[in-house]
Amino acid sequence: MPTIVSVDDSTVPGEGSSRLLLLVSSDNKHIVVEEDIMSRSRFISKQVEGFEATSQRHAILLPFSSFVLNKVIEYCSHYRGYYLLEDDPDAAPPGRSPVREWDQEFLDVDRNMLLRIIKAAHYLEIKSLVGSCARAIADMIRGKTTEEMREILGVENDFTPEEEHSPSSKCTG
Amino acid sequence: MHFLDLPVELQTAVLRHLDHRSVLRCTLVCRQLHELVASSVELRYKVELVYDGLVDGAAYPPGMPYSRRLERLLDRRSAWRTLAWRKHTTVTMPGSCRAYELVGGIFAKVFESNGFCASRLPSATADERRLEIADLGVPVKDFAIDPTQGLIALLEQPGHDMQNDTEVARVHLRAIGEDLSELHPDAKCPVLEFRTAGAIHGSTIQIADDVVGIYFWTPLHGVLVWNWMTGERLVYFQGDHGETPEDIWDFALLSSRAYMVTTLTGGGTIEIYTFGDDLSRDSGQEVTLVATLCFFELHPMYGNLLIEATTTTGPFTARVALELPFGTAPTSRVHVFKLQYAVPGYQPVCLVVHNRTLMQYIENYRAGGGHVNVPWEAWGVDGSRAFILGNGSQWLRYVHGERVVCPILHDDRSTTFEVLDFNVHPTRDPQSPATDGMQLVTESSILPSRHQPLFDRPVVTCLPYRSVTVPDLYVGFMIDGERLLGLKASPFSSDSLGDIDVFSF
Repeated sequence: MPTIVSVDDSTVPGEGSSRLLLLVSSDNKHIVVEEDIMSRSRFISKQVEGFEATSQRHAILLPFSSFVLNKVIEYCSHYRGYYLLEDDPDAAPPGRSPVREWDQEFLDVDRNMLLRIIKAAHYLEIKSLVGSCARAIADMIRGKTTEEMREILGVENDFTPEEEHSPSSKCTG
Repeated sequence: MHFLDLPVELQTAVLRHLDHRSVLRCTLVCRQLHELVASSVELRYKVELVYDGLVDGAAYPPGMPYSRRLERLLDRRSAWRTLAWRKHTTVTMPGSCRAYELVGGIFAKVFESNGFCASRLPSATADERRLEIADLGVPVKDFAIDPTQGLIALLEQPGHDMQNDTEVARVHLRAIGEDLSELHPDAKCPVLEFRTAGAIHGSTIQIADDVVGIYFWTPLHGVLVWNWMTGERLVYFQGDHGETPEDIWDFALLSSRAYMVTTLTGGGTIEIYTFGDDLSRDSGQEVTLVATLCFFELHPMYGNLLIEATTTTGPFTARVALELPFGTAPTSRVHVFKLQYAVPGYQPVCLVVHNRTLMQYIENYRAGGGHVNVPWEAWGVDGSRAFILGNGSQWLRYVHGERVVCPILHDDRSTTFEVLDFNVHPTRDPQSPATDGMQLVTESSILPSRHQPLFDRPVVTCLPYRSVTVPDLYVGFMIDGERLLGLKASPFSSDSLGDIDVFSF
């Protein structure tokens, strides 16, 4: 399935004559993607700048699985050519991420997948995707009881019974 | 993969999207999350806002870092606790005072019948600014303002309609600006009119978000609530007020879709009404009496000697004032009931109740319950705190959020002005020994025995509060979220208001 391309000469004709990138996932899948799709990622952009400086193009190794990587590529493809404020390095960052309907559907995945996507988006420095994932995770725990939160987040209660009743951890809110 | 395996900045990014209460609950999930919230300035700020009953003023000044907001919040908290104000200034308010308001940092008064004078009071960081208008164009009986909506509602001195032998009253909705002559642009119908059967003897006017409420007596009592933006009448009673007895004494909005009236029946009652849903802002709902709460019963000998049951709460503002980093949450408020008995030698009783205690009856009603009659013991003992009021004039604005400034008569018959704060968290801030007139009171109290003959049973109340004594230099005080105002004149005396001392926190 992985396509091996010559990374030295990856210009393809057609759509904006965008060059191709070779991404390699942690499960060693090789994925070819057009450069301008991935330009939303600050991490990838910096890599590409590095290539330009040295006139050498390499495969980019990424520390997450192809399953997650494909999901991120799907996100970037959807927003190809769109301006998203959060991803503008020159714009003042908004306090909260806006709700985008498409993202909500896109992120309708299980908790585990959601956590993997946010981690990958963080690594790739795609702020808009980090924001949307953070909102999606927050939606899962908002308004839940402490016990339900533990369940959803997969966290154990490690307070001692004394601590649970001590003033410093008790809340009247 | 677990949430706690994510880098700390991602965990923070998630919690940033939660409401304050969910953040608080997160701190109880496990040590790591507790630590995370404690070490994140932004999340701590969120949590501390909740503790002080505040909401973030998102509009102010964009980009003011959370660290500075948090610092300001903690400074303000300790300053109010010890009354260590940051600045003392004096504002001069010459002339008499026909009606006055203190809302959102603005003190305003109407003098003669159509002169207007307002002061944006000095704060710890800003100087005073004034607005004086010689003629408002209409004779004003009373007025209400919400500076955060740029709204001033002027209740015109009612006139007599000879033809129909009725009294015609008008409310003018104007924009706060240079001269207050502009109609408010959001009001579809900028002059609201109503007619009463007889001359209006007295009235009050209040604003809560998108509604304006008027209570008047002719001496028949009337309640009128409009949506001031659409001009739609949401509540209208004159004389006959549903199932409520006729001996209504006072009226107060509880939210933009709920109000209460007090009555003098028995030992006095609170009648809670709703006319829509606060969240959906619908207005199709009928005016519904959801609960009747009874005050403590009087001894049979004094059967019906309750002659006044006044209710007071802080003003409503739709948003946080632009110049503030945070402001009092509209739901964090107390209501103060002042009960006066026609028995010589008995000072009035003052009873403080949280807004949420009253609003819960509306929630229960919405959840499917019917109208409830609630005896004193079922709500008042745990849900209120009673004091005996000493002599000292009470200006209208002596309540703001969960703070009250009033003269308290002590067992030894001495009177001190005190700032009472009902936003307390006894488990979080354990009791420190009472010093310098400061104390945290969590035990129950009984109204002094010399008042006891008035009541059928001892009046025990338990609502916790913190109190601090105010220097005894003034005739009366007013309070808002940032200031304490010391006044040397009595409200509505014909004397000049003179100098007002402004203590900014």
